[in-house]
Amino acid sequence: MTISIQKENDIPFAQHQVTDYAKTLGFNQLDCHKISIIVSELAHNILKYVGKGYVMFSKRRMIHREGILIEAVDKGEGITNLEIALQDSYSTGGTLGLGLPGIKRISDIFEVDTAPGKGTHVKITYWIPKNTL
Amino acid sequence: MDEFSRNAQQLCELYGITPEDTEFIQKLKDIALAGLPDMVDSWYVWLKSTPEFYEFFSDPSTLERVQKMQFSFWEQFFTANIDGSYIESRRKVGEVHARIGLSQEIYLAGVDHFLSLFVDMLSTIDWSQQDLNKARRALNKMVHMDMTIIVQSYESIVNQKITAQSKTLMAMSTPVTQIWEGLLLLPVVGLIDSRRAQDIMDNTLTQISTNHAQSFILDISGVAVVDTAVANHLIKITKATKLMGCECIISGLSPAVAQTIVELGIDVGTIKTTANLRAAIEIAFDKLNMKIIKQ
Repeated sequence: MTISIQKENDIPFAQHQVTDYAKTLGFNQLDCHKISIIVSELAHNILKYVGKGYVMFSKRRMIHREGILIEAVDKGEGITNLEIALQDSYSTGGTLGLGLPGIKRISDIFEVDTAPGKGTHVKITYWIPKNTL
Repeated sequence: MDEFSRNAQQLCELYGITPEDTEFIQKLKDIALAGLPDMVDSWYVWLKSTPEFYEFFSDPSTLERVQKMQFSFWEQFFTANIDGSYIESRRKVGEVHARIGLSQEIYLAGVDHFLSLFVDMLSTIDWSQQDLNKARRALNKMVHMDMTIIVQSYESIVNQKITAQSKTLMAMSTPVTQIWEGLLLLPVVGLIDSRRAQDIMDNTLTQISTNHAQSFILDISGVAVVDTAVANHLIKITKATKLMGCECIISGLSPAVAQTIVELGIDVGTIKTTANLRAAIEIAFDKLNMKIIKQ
């Protein structure tokens, strides 16, 4: 599912959608909560640094695992120095600077495709814990 | 209303309505208006088969008024003078539909029904096949443009309703109350966005200064999601209250919220937090050198 992020109230909508979707995939409540946080952080970043973009989520399957793939796409300036951006408490936007490093800690696979002037594409995979499958 | 960025001319361009098309529509005018009473009758036969008819048109005077409007609309339609006032009058129709709650479904079905009646009418005219095709295409374009205008204004009314609702919610969202001398309480339910955070901040600080409060309890048990943005707002609110000499206690942290705060790596520092409101009130009373005693 793709959700356009352009206004602040698009964020709670995206969160509701992703929570409902995660539930149908079989995530428990705590995991749904974390997934909704991931979406919220990504969407906030889109709004704060670019102004508009998309959040997408879909099912992700690997041989022994199932989970959710969450993507955030924007066509902004890109992240100049990813290594620094992933450090705790680094922010050019005057906020806590824990969004990206925070979701990196929460998620299972964290991929960022970005280059100056080329926009940003964040891909996050969150597996369903094995014992609940 | 900024949604209507297109004026009459741009709409015509969008739908590819050329002067040739409007000419065809105008040529159809006399024939169409002559056949209109029968068409309206047969259209109402169809409408009567839907439940919407009894909901919206059961009153005979309403029915008569609506029918009159329909006649004058089709007259306007076949005059095919597409200008600002034409677009405006179509917009009004959409707004009325939205306000009375007539569904888009029935409206679109109704238009389609009318369109097929007109297409039937075309087959009775002795024009060349080519002209008939052109006339049919022109009719289609005009009707579709019409539907777009109405659907869009419908949407804008619905959006206005949503905005009004969220404003109402905002207005009642930050009731800072004094529960004891020097002790303020604000239960937050729902989500905290930047606007609401600013509301909470403003309200709290004014109340602290007018009530000379020493303790302020912010209960977030009704907040489902605490991400870094919300945490940032909460930290700022606590800092500001502290500057005013008031101690802030955040109560009602659920297990899920606590876990995610830790995983996100948010440093809550010296902020006093409790699992429930009861514990927060105890701490606050303690600070005020008071005790609740059973009689």
